[in-house]
Amino acid sequence: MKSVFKECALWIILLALLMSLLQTEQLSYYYHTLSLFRIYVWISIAVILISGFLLFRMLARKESFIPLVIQKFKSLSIPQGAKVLIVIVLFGNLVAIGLGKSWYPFYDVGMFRWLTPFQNYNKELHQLKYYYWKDGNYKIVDLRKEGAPGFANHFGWRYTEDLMFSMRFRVRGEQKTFEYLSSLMEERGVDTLWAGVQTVNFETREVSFDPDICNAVHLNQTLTQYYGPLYIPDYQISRCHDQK
Amino acid sequence: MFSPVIKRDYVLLRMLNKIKEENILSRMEKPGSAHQLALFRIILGLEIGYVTWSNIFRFTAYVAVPGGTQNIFPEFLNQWIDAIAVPYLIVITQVLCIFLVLGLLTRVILPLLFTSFFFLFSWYYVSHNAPIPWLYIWFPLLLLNFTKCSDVLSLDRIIKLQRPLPDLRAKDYRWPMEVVAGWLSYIYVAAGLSKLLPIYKGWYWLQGGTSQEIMYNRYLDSMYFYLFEKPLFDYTEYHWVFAILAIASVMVELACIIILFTHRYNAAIFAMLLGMHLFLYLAGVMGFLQLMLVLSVSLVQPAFFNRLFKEQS
Repeated sequence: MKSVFKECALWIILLALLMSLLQTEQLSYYYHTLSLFRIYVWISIAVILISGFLLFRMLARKESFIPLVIQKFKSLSIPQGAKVLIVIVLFGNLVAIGLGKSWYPFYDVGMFRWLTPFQNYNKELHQLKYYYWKDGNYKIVDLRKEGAPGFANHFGWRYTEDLMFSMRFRVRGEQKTFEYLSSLMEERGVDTLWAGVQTVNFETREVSFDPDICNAVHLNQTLTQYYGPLYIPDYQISRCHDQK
Repeated sequence: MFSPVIKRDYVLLRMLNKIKEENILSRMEKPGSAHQLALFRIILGLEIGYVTWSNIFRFTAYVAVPGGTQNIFPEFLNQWIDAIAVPYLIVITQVLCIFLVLGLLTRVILPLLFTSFFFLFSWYYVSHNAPIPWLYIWFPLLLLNFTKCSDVLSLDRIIKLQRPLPDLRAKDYRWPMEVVAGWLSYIYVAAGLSKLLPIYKGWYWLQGGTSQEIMYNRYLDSMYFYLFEKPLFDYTEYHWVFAILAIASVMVELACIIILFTHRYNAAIFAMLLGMHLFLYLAGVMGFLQLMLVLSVSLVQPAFFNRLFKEQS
């Protein structure tokens, strides 16, 4: 019984250290520049070798549970093709997870794996958004809302969340994204889209929107924005220059 | 009466015995539910239909920005898909997923649907740089090829192309659902591991900076803003809130490994996953709730469907 827990612990230690080494980008660079990192690498290698040896010994002494799992899997009365498929997918995904990389269809599921330190961000967050005028009032085109079933104001269910995410964030700086959105809005009776600035003040918890086209052009050039600058059409930039 | 060591050993032994009986491999040999499997087929078909009818393909082709992601296919195949196949693959996938939902000619269409779906979404994947929910559909779809998923709730059954097993609780209906449960477990455990590894990075991740960055930057594009119009609190402060959120999310994700050892906590795991996804949905990460609900059909005990559909041995 104790050997099961011991084996599990050894596997966890071995895999955690091995995956940490394999997933370290620029390993060689850090190894040669940071003496502490060099110590970490050698300790990791030593622990990996010791754990590997102990696991191998358990296997040789028939104390390991791994052969039991394999035997159980082999004995399952499920189609042979499904068994082969499960093994291939398991192996492919374990390699992807181990290396922290993905090659479709094998995937490491690296959701939000990037590291950002906690920051004292600016109390005011500015985001550029497209809007249009209707009956003397501005109407903001909230793209992510348009991708949420039941909340969309302009688009139907075929304008899915991933599409709206791409338009709002991933390719927001592309002229073609703007052209695509413009043509969709034209079909819905909106002939001109402008870029404005929406601001939230996290201290006062107030949200405001500034439809000033020049302010949007200015902030788009000067502000560090999430997913980069928004595409602003030439007619807005020209109109802004004319106003000046 | 007993020393603490004996008590501890007794508890551990009981736990090991339970794991031996209730682990995912043992569960594959237990009675299942023909209706659960069929319902999963229908829901998966609807999900495939939903993502395939999306205008994302038209948009992706129009904007044509490479995503920097890779697949395992040779370059000539990627070029062929990109240059020629995509419009056909979209239509083929759309038509075949209707067949899947209806359960019509299921055995014939499943390999074709898998192939078209697999290539179509490979093309979409290489055009993107972010994890996307349907990335996790291909395996359950491929798995259905080996199952008797149209034995009930299907046109195949009505026109007698498919005859169900005499026992609608046979284990033939159980193993696919357990493999899907294993797939769900893989998705979340891998997501948890990717936040913690390499181990020197995990410590910093758990401090909550990434959670804060997402909540802060996406606030004006979040459902929370659309619904309530004011931030819940000052996202530039309260370090500890983001640390708790980060730790909680990793704990929920890693807890999914329990699915491999026992089914006893499936309801709790489902509740935690649902809570996490609802929170993420409000915070501006909307895409994965739907997928979680689709795969969660596998977390429901077959006995529930046995009772619901009055399945008899």
